[in-house]
Parts: sequence; structure tokens; C-alpha cells
Amino acid sequence: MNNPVTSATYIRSLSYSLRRRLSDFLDPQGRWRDVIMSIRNPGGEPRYSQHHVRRFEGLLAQGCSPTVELLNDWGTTNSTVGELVDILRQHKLLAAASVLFPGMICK
Amino acid sequence: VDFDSIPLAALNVTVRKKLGLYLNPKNAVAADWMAVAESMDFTYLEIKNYAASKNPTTMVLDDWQARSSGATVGRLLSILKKVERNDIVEDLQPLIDDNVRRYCVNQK
Repeated sequence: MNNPVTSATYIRSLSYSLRRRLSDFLDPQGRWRDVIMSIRNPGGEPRYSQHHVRRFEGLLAQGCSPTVELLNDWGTTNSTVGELVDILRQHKLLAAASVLFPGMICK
Repeated sequence: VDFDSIPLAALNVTVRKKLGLYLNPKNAVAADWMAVAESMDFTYLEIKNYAASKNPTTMVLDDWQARSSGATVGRLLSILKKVERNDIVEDLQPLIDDNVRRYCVNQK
């Protein structure tokens, strides 16, 4: 990708390699579960239910990366990198956040 | 222009290919071509059979256009909004507007 990633970048525009690197940080120890449960619709209600989370677990059993599948799925809304980074910060997943913003100052 | 009066035939191959690009991949939760086909009143068995196709989205669009008098550009846009695929609406709106403009010019 030639365009640099900013807070306003749509998640659906993220490159393949960035998605892979995010999954390296979020797949282990089920860290993606913290992320998925924090995703909210514009109305404020959770986007994914417990049943939905189980579908992603099923994909994990098939050898798919739940993080990559989640980014595909959530990316179909006009969700942005800023929203994802806010959630990553909230759960102190700063290594994953720094994949998106390499220069990010970690507090 | 009233998009509900523009038949789906106004959409060219480029738009249909792009729609396939967005709708062909299956999603765990978000709507894909299957949800769209269901909103177009295709039955479960019909949808199951489209799944064997390489590009189910274009097949569904062709068959919808052939069988339903309600197959309009406006209806397609309202289905995409209903199944919450606002990414497609946002990305393809300029292209669709352009197709509709050309169609109207050719009709005159």
C-alpha cells in the first residue's frame, strides 16, 4: 500500500501483510476475543454476540485466523483504523497497535 | 432521477464485477451474496445451488433481473443498505450514478 495508514483509513483498505501481522499479535491466547467483544455498532450495542464469537472459534478450528476473519467481517462496515486502535489501547494490546502506527508513543 | 424506475439492466459489467468483488467472499457474520439473494426472494435451494458457481453474485443479479419486475437499481441499493453493506454503497455509488446517467441519455 502506498497510502500511509491513518486513523481515518477504513479497515477494509488494510493490506494483506498488515492483516497478517495483526493476526500474529491477536490470534495467540485468544486476544482477538477481547477485541471482538469491544466492537460496537453505531447505536452503541455490541456488534457480535456470544453465538457470533463461536462462529469465529469454528473458523479457528478449520485453520483460519480469527483475527483475519474478524477484520474481513467488521471491515464490511465503514469501520476505521482509529476505532480498532482505540479498542487495542483499551485492552493494552499496544504491540498490535504499533503494527498500524509504528511511531505510536506507548504510555 | 428516481432510481426505483431504473431497471437493473442499466448496470454495466464493471459494476457487476465490482459487486461480486465485495459480495462473493463469505463472511462469518456480515452480509454476503447469500443475504442479498435472500432479500431478492430467492429460496434456500436456489441459494444452495448458486453456491456452486464461481461468481454467484453476477448469477444472482442476472436471474433477479430476468424474473422480477421489481429488479431496479433503487431496490438493489435499498437491499444493500438493509443488510448493512454501506461499504459497497459508499464505494460504488459514483460508478452506479454514472451508469444510470448513461442509461437515461440512451433512453432519450
